[in-house]
Amino acid sequence: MILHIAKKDFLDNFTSARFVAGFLLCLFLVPFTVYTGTRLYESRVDKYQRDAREADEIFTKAQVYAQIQPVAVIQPSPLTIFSKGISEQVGSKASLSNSEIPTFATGITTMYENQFLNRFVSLDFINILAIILSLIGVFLSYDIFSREKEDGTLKLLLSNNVKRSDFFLGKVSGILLTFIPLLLVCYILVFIILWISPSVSLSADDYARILLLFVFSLLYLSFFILLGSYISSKAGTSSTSLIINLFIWCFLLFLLPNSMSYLGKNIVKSDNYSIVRMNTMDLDNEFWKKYGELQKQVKAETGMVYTNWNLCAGWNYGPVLLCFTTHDVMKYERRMHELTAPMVLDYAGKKWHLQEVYLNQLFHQQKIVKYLSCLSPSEILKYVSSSLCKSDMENHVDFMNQARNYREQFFNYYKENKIFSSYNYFSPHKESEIPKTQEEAMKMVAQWRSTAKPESTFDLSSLGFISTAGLPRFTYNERGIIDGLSDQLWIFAGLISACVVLIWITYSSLIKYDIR
Amino acid sequence: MLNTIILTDIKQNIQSLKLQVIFIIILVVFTVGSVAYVFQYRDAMEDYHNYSLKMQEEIRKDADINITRVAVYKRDHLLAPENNGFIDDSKSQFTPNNIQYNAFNVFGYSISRMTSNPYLYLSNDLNWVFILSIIASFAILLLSYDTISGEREQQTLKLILSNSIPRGVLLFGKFMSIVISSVIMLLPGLLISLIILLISGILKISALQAFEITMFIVAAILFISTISALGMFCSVVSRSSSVSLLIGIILWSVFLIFSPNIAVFTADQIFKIKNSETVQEEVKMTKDAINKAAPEGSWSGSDNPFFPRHELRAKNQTNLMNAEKQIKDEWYNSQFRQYEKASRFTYLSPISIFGMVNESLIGSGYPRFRKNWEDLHTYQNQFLSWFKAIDSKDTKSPHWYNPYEDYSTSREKIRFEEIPLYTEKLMTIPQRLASAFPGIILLVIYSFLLFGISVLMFNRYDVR
Repeated sequence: MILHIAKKDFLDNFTSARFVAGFLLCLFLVPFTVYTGTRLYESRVDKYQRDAREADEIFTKAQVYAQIQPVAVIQPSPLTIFSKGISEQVGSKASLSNSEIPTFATGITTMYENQFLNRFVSLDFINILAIILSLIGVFLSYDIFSREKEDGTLKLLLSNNVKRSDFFLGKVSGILLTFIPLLLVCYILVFIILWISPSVSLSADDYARILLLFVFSLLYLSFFILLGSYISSKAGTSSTSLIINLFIWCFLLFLLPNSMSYLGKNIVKSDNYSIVRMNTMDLDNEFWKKYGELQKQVKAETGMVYTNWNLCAGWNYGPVLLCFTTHDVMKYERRMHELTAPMVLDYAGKKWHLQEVYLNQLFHQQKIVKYLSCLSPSEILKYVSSSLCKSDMENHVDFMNQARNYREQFFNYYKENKIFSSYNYFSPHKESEIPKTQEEAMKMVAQWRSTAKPESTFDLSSLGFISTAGLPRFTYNERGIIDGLSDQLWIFAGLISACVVLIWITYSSLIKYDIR
Repeated sequence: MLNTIILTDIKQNIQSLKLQVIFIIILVVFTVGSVAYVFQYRDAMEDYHNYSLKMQEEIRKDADINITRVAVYKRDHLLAPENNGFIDDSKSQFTPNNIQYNAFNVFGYSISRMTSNPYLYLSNDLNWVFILSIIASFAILLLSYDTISGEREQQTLKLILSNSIPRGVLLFGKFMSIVISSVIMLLPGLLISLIILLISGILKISALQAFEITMFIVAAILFISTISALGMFCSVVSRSSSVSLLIGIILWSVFLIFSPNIAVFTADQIFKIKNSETVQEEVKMTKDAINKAAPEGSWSGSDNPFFPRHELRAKNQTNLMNAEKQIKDEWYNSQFRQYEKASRFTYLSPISIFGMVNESLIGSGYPRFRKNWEDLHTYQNQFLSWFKAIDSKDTKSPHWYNPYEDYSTSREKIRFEEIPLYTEKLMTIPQRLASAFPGIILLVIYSFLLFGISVLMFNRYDVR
């Protein structure tokens, strides 16, 4: 009997004007949104490739160890076309210098390079689903029982030998069944666009995530269908049911998320980032004071009065790529680097304490806002989808933590292998090659000039590159689906519970319905 | 007769469940939004005050060293939080609010992070424009979608039209009743919001704020008229109220979602501009060429300001700055043009127009940024003239102007109080009106057009 009712309702809905209108709206909005999303993804991939190449060149084109300030880059996921989450707000690479542990990632921090274009609202696939499909859900379910009451068919139906539970399940399944082809068409449209885009390739893991996304979209829709059914079972007329449904829809989708986000931000406040930066600058000033004292100390230690660099092509708390310079100066600079480098790392750690406090405030604020705004099912859909599409905060924080751990590992390698105290840290010369006198140094300069490429006045390629094969390199280990979903377990469970409650109260309301 | 129609319909609307529900929702949102705004604004002002003090401290420190540092060190001008954000936040989270400059150049702009949390999904503040453009527009649509088709379904349309009343007058009466009902629905919320803002001290009785509030109300009435006309159009386009509602909701979604999306799409596809990599590459190549052509010694430095090579260094740095400025300014201007052209596509949507009109009327958002951008260029020239005038009197300075370094200009200290600081000038009322004018005209055209089409269609409407 359930199947019979469901089939009838499915066919009725499938040919109704509201379904066709909604279907056409999806057909119009989905390809458009996905196409724009794909274009954005392509430009992100371009940028990633450039960033990754540059990050690699830091190692392959290094001539001294002090030049290597690694950069960790994260590859954009094609799943961001489905749900962009916060991926376009937080950056895509982390600069891991010795002087600073990164608070935020850099790189792409806005959706469009022309910042003004970000003023236009741009929705992703999941946002469109959240708005349009829930609206169609409301339109299909608002009169599921009330229409039968109005037409007098409910009396006829219930006076037959039909169980009320069967009737209820049949009606709800009918609408759900109507949605499966609609949702499938939306997803197929996305796949078609993705398949014809040469830069997008999906892995097996991506397909698994999309499948889960599909299932979750269906659960989200079920909520609106059940809500519509409940209101329909309670409302006197279909028009009252529709008005109440639409208000709740507008409230849940637009009003609640914005109010809760607003409220959350007011409950948990974060410091001003500019002030945090200024406080870290105070530590920088303290560092420079100590650096000055260190200079005096080392000058006294080595008897150095005037440092004459014959060729130097960079600076990292001391000369970098210092060449053709006399032994006494080189000795002084080596000692300076040996003492300064650990101090730079130490101050980076001190600054990190301030940054960490600030970051924790942001995380805490995000958690509060998230749990408050998840009173709205559309927000639950957004959070779960961004988690599945690897574009949520947890994924980003995981990347940043891995990058910070790598930074520590990298500079520990320098410490353990005494690289900071070696000449190769800042000079391409071995100790034995360092000139003893200024005359000798000038001869070396003249010789280098004769080998430099004619078009360049500053070509240092003849000095050779260091071998970086033994240095630790950054590899990002992506979080698995289970890890991602476990973060969203509570809100996921919340939505399921809401659906169960709705089923129960709608069923109770139908059981109590007096057919007279 | 017209009065009777209007009064009867208003009465009916007020007694209807939908208006009562909307009324409560809007009242709550106005109250919550205003209270939250008061706290948010106070925090933002405190933050901004602390930030300004820190910035002044930095300038003071440099002034204690020498005047050249004051002139050449890059400063950030951060736009202050606005006291009219309760009307519209003008998408402040997406609008550059930080401009970097020194006495020689205005370098660029960015969005300062300040207190915004990048880990949060972007959301709207519950300001007046948000309430009007999302909640009220939806509510007005619900009030108006069945004005004609609903009457037809209830068989009352026949009876009304059996009176000697022109159809146009009937439609106008119904239209006016919706506009008035909507205003009645919004007014208490607006008043409560005003009271909260007045008590909190954010709202001071000034001519400018009175202008902003009055103009918001004018724009709001125009917007309400447009949406009401849209609802009327939906109600005459179909014979069934359900279909009318469906069309209304679809159009509303298109205005809300599709129109801004198409602006971005067209900007991306039609009005293409250079990307940052190309610009950076151009800057790099031009700088390389300048450095290569620079005479030997252009990078030499000494503690002695009159060290002859400082002149070369100053020239080289000036050339580098000018070359970069030319490329970057051209790029910035192309970004402005791209945004302005793309935003014309949002004129398709009354919801977007309403937002833009208010942004202009309260002098915030993009118009505010552009004004500051232009004003900072003027200020920068004045700042440079001031610096040069003081430097020219210093006999210990060789007057070789280097835009980035304090090698070859005055090293005298300067009193902080003597330094001309940039202060933002608000947009004047005529500037605001001029900026909002196209949007206002468009809203009027939309109202007339939609209502006109509705009248035409209603004249052919089959009442059976």
